[in-house]
Amino acid sequence: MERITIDPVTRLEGHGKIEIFLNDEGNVENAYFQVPELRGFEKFCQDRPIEEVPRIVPRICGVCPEAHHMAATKALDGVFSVEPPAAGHKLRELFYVAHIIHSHIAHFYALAAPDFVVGPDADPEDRNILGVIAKVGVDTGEEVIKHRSYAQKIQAMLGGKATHPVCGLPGGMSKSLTEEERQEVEEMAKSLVEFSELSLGIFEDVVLDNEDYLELIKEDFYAHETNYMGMIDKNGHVNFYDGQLRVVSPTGEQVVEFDADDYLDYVEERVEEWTYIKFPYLKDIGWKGFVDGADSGIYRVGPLARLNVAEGMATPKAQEAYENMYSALGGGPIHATLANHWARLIELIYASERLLELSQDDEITSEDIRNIPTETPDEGVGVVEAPRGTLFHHYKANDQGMTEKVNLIVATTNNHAPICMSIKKAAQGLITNGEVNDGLLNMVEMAFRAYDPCLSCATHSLPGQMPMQINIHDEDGEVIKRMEK
Amino acid sequence: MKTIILGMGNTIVSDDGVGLYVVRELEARINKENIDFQESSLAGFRLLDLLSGYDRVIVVDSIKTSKVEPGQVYKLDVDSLKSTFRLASAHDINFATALEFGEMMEMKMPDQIDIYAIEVVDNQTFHEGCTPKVEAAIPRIVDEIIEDLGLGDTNKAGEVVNA
Repeated sequence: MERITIDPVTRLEGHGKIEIFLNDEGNVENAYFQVPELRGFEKFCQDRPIEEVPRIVPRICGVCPEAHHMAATKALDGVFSVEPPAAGHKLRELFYVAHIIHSHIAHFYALAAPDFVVGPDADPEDRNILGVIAKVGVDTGEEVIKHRSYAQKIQAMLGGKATHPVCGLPGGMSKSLTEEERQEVEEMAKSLVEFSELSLGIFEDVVLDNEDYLELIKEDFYAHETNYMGMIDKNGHVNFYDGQLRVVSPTGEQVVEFDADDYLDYVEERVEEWTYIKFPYLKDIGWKGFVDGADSGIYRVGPLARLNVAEGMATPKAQEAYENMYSALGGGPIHATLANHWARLIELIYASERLLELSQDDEITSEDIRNIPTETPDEGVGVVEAPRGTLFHHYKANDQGMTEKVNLIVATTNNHAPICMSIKKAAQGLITNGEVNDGLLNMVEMAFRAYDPCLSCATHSLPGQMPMQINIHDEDGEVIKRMEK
Repeated sequence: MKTIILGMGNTIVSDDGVGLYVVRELEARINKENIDFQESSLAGFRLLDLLSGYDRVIVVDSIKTSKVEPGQVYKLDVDSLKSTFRLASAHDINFATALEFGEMMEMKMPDQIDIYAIEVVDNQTFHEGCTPKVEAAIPRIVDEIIEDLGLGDTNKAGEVVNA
């Protein structure tokens, strides 16, 4: 067999694309963000037994299968009109916060840290996790490996499989936690709390103690005054697994609070001709174009949005970190997109503390973890806070329990309009008089990376990640610069 | 030499599953100690769990360049991945970075890495099974990989001889 070195990424189909258009003066006129989308998911699910869907949806995504599994499981509670026993909910939440921990660790060390620890305009060859470890030391790298694997181990322990979990059932969970497993989770959780504090410590040392980086976070071209959406518990604290959805305005007033079941009363989706992915917006306010402000229906989801809608965090260490962030950045809501990285680390602390609490809960080893459904299947909505933001699953079954309708709004879709706006605004702030270089373009990309857009639906094929292309067009639409990664 | 043959892809997105189908076939045909088989639709950090502890890894995955016939196989090594794809990733870390990161952490990572990337037609439509041209190429690809790896010749009945 012939050995071939394949041509650069330009030759691969299925790009994520950022298109930046310059005007006569060489300033940014417009910018677009496009990603390819997988097709035909609803058709694929139709006429399959509805209880199969939670085992299909984890395969949509190679990055967050657990989030899809949990949203699907909750949607099935609704379809079968069954409520899990208390221990069933707690076990699901334990599983789910382990997923959040896993994802947030990966994002911080692999994606966020390179821009700050190595530097926003550093050589791209060094601006990755290897460069981060070279700076912070192999010891920290070992801690990353260890704690990431703890989170993975807990997901596998409860999920039934190392990947593609099968544990969630309508009315509860399939498998309980033994006392031996509980003890193991408790020990790992204690260590994870320490590790999450260490991670925030790195962020404080590297970013917050550096005046230039703090200014960069506060830069106007990295900010948008939008509405925010996130899930809260009954005390108004951030919750990933269950609660009400709250939307706040750019000035922090509550716009609405609603049950997952009613999401269609509050969220609508707009179609634009230049992309397959839809643009959700708040129905009451309406679509006013790609603009921010209280009069625009655009909202943001994700770590910063969750903290912005909440009144605080439910655990002490996370609450302290939350207060520090809002006091450092002048109170809420915080509109600085890059503050998502900070919020993500505060959430990592909360998820770790919550994991520890749940592992010490008297009920967590209960075997009363499922109520058997007895109702005829119908319709249900399941919502969770995925690592990247609010995730909606909505299913309808016929009276034989076969799937009729499936609607998903994933976190990156919720953030689609703000991501487009953030790219344009950052490009306008950074590119002037036609001067473009790789460092500046990386800083444009930082605006979009803060959302951690999950493009992984397209990452199954080699190279194992979504290729990104940035094209700069002159006033005649000709491509004058192209950057690929 | 402890070897893992890793099929990557997703069986519910048409041709994206081809790497998994090929590895299932290889598993049925190759019976050697020290060779493990694994399917994965995950990427990034999670690959570390799968790869550590092996001397050699053989990856079978899909690729879409639209430059060659469906079913044609690109044989890649890790350097060709590094030179093209190792820049900061859009999400998580890529294959080459995962390997390098594992080495940096002094985990036992495979020294010998071979990647077979099969040209596909459709990796964006939810559907179980491959498109016809890719489907038809699977037996030939399996034969080629077995031969290329020196894991024995196949006889006409498709049985491995001299393995």
